[in-house]
Parts: sequence; C-alpha cells; structure tokens
Amino acid sequence: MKKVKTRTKIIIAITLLLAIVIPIFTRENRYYMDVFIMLGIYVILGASMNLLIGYSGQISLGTAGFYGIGAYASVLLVMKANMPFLVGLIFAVVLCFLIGYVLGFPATKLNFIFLGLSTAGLNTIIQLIITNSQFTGGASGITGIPSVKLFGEPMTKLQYYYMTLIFVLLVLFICYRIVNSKTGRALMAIKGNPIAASAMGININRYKLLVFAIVSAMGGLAGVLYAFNIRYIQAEAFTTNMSFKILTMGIIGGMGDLGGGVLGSLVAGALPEFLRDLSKYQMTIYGLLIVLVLRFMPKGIVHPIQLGLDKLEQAIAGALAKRKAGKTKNKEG
Amino acid sequence: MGTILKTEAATMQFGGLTAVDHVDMEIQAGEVHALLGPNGAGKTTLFNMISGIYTPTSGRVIFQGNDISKKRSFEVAALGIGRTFQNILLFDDLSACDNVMIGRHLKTKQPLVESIFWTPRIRREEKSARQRSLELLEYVNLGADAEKKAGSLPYGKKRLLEIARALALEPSMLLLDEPAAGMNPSESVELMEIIRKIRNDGITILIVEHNMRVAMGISDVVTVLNHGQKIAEGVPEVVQHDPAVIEAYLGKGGARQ
Ligand SMILES: Nc1ncnc2c1ncn2[C@@H]1O[C@H](COP(=O)(O)OP(=O)(O)OP(=O)(O)O)[C@@H](O)[C@H]1O
Ligand SMILES: [Mg+2]
Repeated sequence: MKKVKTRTKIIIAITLLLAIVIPIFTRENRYYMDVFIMLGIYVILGASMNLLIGYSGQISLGTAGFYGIGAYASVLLVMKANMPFLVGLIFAVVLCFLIGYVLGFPATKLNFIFLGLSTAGLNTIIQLIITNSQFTGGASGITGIPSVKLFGEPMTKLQYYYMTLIFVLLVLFICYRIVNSKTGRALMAIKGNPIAASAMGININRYKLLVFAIVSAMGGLAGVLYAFNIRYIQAEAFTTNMSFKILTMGIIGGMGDLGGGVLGSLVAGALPEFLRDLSKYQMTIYGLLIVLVLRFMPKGIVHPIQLGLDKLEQAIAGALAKRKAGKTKNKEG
Repeated sequence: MGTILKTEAATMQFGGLTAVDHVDMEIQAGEVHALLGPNGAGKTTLFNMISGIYTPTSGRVIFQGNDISKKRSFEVAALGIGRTFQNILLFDDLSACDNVMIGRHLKTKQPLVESIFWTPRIRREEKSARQRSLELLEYVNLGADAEKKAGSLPYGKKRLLEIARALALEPSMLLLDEPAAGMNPSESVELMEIIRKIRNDGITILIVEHNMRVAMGISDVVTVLNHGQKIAEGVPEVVQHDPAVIEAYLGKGGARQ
C-alpha cells in the first residue's frame, strides 16, 4: 500500500473541516443548505463516475437512470410499505447493484463508444418506464415524501446535510479502498492494456461487471439522498441530461484521481448556481467544459493545482534547508 | 518429467491465410524449447493460440494433460502459463513494481469486501505481494527501477520487466516472444543468464528467437516454422544444418542472418 502524502492529509483535513463548519453558519438558509446537500450528492455521483471511467476505462451515460431507480425504489418502499428510511435506502442500493450487474453484462461486450450510446438508451428506457407507470405516479411524479426522522423528530437541514456528508465519506472511503487493493490494480491493468491484463489471469468481464454494479449502487444511493431531501420526485430529474452532467463531474477533475473526482464534482455541481441566468445553456456549458478541459488539461483541473502545490512544497523545503544551513554556519562561526 | 505442453495439428486461419498449419509440437518439462522461423512464419500466432488469445480454428493444445484449446487467456494464465509479448505490453502509467504486482493478481488473496475493511489479512497479502514483486525485480536485475514508471524505462529493461511480471504468476511454463529484440549485446548476455536461471528454477521455457545464434546458445530443442508449417525439429546442432532450415532462412529471412 502506498503511503498517503502529508500534503494530501492536510488537504483532506482542511476540506473536511470546511465541509463540517461552513454549513453551521448557513443552517437557517434553506437555499444554501440545499446547495450543500446537492453538492454532497454530486460528489457521490462524480466520484463513482471517476471510478468507472478513470480506473476501469468504461463509460456510462446512464447513471441518472440508477439515480432515478434509487430515488423511486426507496420512496415507494417507504411510502407504500411504511418502511423506515434506512430500510428504503439499503433496499434501493442493493437493487441498483443487482440491476447494474444484470444490465452490465452487455456492457462487458461493448467498446467505449457503443457502451456510451447503449447506457444512454438504457437511461431513456428507465425514464420512460417511470413516466408511464401508475405505480410511480406517472409524469406528475410523487409528492409528499415524508421527511427523514432522527429520534422521532424530522431532521433539520443541517442534520440531513451531515447525514449526506457521512455517506459521501463512506463512498469516498470505499472508492479509496477499492483503488488501493488488488481490485484497483486489476482495473488499472484492464484500462492500461486488456490483453496483458488477461494474460496476467485477470478476468476482465468479471471486473468490468463488478465496477459497473458498484457504480450503479452508488448512483442509487445518491438518488435516495436526493429524493428525501427535496421530498418530491419526477422523472424529469433523471434524464440523460443529468447523466451527462454526472459524466462531466467525473471527467473534468482528473480521471483516475479520487481527489480530482471530488474537485470536478464540486466545480461542475456548483457552476449552475453561479450561472443562474444562463440555465438555458447549461448542457452547452457542460459540453464546452468537457471539450476545453480534455483539450487543455488532459489530466484534469486537479493537475495544475498539484503542480502549483509541488512548487510551493519545494519552495518551503528550500527555505527550511537554507535556514538550517544558516544555523549550522552560525554555530561553527 | 514428461511432456508439459503438446500441440496436435494446431491450425489457425485468418480468412484465406493459414498462419499456423497443422503444427505438432511437444515440449518436455524442464527444457528450453526454441521456436524459430523467418518473419511471418506463424510463431507469434502459435503463442497466441497456446496462451488463449486465439482459439485454434482446428487442432488442439494440451497442457499438463488438459485440453486448453478453448480456454481463454486468463484461464490459461491460471493454469500456469505465463508469457511476454513481442510488441511489449506493459502498463506504462504504473510503476515497475505495480506492474509485477498485477502479475501476482491470482496469488493475492484479497476479496473485495474484505479489502474495503482493510483487515489484517488484506494488509498481510498486500505486503507480501509487494515484497515478492520487489524480489522478482531483483531477480531480473531491475531492483533499482522498482518505483519508476514502466513507460519510462529503456527498451531492454521493459523486456526484463515483462519477464518479471510473467514470473509473478508463478507459472510452470513461460512463453517468451523475442525477448532479445531491441537489446544491445551486453543486455542480450544478461538476458541469457536470466533465462538459464529461470530454467534452473524448474520453469519450462518456450522462446521465440529470430536470431539463430542466440537461440542455439540457450535451447535444448528447436522447432522451426516456415509459412505456418513445421519444417524441422530437434537438437540445435542438427537443426542448424538441416537443408530445409537453411533454405527457409537464406531464401527469405536469410538477409537477416
Ligand atoms: N490477427 C491477425 N489477422 C490476420 N492475419 C494475421 C493476424 N495475426 C497474424 N497474422 C498473419 O499471420 C502470419 C503469421 O504472423 P505471426 O505474427 O505469427 O508471424 P511471426 O512468426 O511471429 O513473425 P515475426 O517474426 O515477424 O514476429 C503473418 O502473415 C501475419 O500477417
Ligand atoms: Mg512474432
């Protein structure tokens, strides 16, 4: 296992501290709280997409489909069968894992482009089923989703945010462990060179399927968190447009870099909040963003930041070394 | 010891082209067996048929008594056949050590769910995989390059790294496709020593080598292919003087000698 750099630890600590502290000051502001909760959900989606593309070299334009399945499955279980939220959540995650596993079979046979197209098709099918079924409330969706309770009381926005944060950390932790184990190495091998990977005894289809299912499950989890926050769901939230947005989040930060995945999700997720007036052009902006980043920063927006930090680190190390040298000289003199 | 690998009328057709044509070959456990032949003779194709990258259009490949003709590449690896590639297929973005660790895929017991919990067993496995990989790098004289990216290594070292990665499988048989190609003379000598070492460790070797002299120097038995057909087989000293072999080499690939 590779050692985590001190620098990485510091960055994680600062980010985590900000993520915990900032919302305390904005807890009365519903708008900010919803934005923060959404950002958490985006990090789950973006990080899982980063795992899929960046580590295993697959693609999905159907993640929003699983996001939708997660949302609807949990809501229906909670509302129609009177189950507690946590049961709905676990049910939705397991269901998405299984559906991802089954639908992933064709995925193992397709190349990158066709996989993109067919997952987009899959997304549309899921959306059509949701729109046209009585059971899911049809086009008008489901309203009046009960709020999640904590010790018998409905959760406040701040509490809901912290719950989301816990799930975000859980997902990132799982991604980290996957990437830094035999499984992660197998994925990187498959992405790097499938023929060689196979000659090393790696069952490519098995691993592709496994990540596809894991990513689907994470998409489902994000859907649950989304549904019980805004407490109103409609098929329109789960279109291929959303899948494309998730793809952007997974790509622009830096493929094959967990931190990059988080950064990309935050940037792409927060962008619409800054560009409210341009909301009509949201998809165009995301498209442009992907093209520009891939063209000018193929290693993602995290890369220039890393280079900058490298320089800073060197400068600090240099200054420290100088001071030390100065001190010893003084002693000698 | 006996036969470890056998091909029976192994044939591979690509459209109208018969790249490997009814080849019968038998490899004894423990030997270094060379596969010779001019350009396009079908050597790499035969390797691909043995290692499961291609499924023979007809005929069979038998490894340790089992028919592996229809097995896929990862299954053949699991049965104990490791290989390298003529056109070097490393994981360029990963370190040399990580490359070898990927070779230890099947020997590393890390179920996914347990990996997430990072149990003591997972940690132990990870440590021993790394340890063993570093040893293998030492074994092929790449100890100092463990943390370098595979893609950044010079040509000769890449070839050695491929060998270390294949050895990580702990195979009973190793297929080397032109391991000396692109190496300078001193690197070739180093390579020959490593091959002898591997053989002394009890691993059977099937090696493709373009250069007659190199092949003759290290192999116990030689099989010569030309236009997909086996034209000669036997101990190097005899095969070397076989008229059919001389003609195959002088006729077409002769200029390279
Ligand atoms: N996948 C393929 N599709 C079509 N033809 C192929 C394929 N692989 C190999 N061939 C053809 O089969 C013949 C044998 O090729 P092969 O690579 O096995 O030769 P080789 O003995 O390894 O040659 P070299 O010494 O140049 O490596 C050649 O004519 C080659 O063009
Ligand atoms: Mg060849």
